[in-house]
Amino acid sequence: MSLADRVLDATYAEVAELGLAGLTVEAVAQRAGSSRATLYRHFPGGREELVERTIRREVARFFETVLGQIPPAPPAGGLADHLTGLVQAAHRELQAHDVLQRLLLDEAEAIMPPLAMVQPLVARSVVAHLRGALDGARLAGKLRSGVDLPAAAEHVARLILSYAGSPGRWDLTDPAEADRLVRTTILAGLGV
Amino acid sequence: MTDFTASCLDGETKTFLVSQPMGAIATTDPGAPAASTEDRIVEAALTCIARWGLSKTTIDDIAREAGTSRATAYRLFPGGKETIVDAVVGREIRQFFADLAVELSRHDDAEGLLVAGIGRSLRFLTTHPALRSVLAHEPGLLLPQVAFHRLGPVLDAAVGFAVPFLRPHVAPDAVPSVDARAAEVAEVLVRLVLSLALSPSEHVDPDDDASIQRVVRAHLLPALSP
Repeated sequence: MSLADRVLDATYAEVAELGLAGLTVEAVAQRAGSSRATLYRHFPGGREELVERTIRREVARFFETVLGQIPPAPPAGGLADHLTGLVQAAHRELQAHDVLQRLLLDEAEAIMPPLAMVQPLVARSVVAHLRGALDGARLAGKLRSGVDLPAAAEHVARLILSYAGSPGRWDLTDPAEADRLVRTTILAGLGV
Repeated sequence: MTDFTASCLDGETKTFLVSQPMGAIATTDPGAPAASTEDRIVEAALTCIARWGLSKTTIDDIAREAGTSRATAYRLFPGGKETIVDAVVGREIRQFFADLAVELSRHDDAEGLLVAGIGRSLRFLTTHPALRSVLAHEPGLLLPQVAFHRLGPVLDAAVGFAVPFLRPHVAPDAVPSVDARAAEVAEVLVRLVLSLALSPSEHVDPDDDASIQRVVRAHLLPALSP
């Protein structure tokens, strides 16, 4: 395992155990079996950089997990089925993420700014993924003609992220309700 | 640390928003008598927050800006800064929804209604000086109030406001019902506005109604009447 990976693992473990407020570069270096000086050479931004890169890695893992458990995107699978799986699995995994949930409960003021910093990256990759999915649907003849693909991908990405994080009036644990949300609301105007 | 919006949507304001018949919400009368000291203090707090941020603003700053004394500020707002900030947030939200109600009542057609509602809300959220100052420099004070489980009450309050405007435009055979569908579409609108206000879009420009109209036509009118 590379030093960077060991350091990010150590950062995550420290935050999981002690929360964000208790996180120090010293403790991370010690846990990773490295020195403060070496750590700063690889992470010149110090504590802030450790937090941001750990979140980025967690987000990447999160989407890998989510995409691994849902029906394939078009053209291999159906667009609505893929998005229903996506919003359900993303919601479920967020709820099941103990470290994130505890931070949101106990240290929301501290965790939201770094989450917001990473948000544009998250949004960009979700938009890129959805652009591929919408293009696949178009190739399969399942997208209404004249849809502005980049704009539609951005719109759908905003909604998927919003519902997965805060379901509001929708019970996303109910597959039928999640399916209705996707077909009538998230994909409104896009299908043939 | 003062909780910027925690109090704004779970008490008085929320009750106000969801219980008022829309006609009863009036905008500020320009011919109204001169501002009271309370009003001047609230206005001054808004100016201070825009200038220095929320954490750094003190009750002395606010009193000075309002042209009054610290003692008077405490007499009118016994809880001090926190009470003043609550009053600021409550006033800004009530004023925003009152102005929005007047604007929306001018539109009989669904497209005009949605473009006006989204446009006005987005412009308010992206240009409000105190809000942008806190968002830029102290995001930890604001973002937790509109994310994850805390978003629920915000959605409920805004949906309660929007439903009466949307109901006439929902298809009569809507599933599960006209009322439920109006609330679902209202919720999409609120989510979209918040998302666009917090992360700017490559496709939607708050100052360009044509760009908002494109979203409305492509995604939102079809949600109202499939």
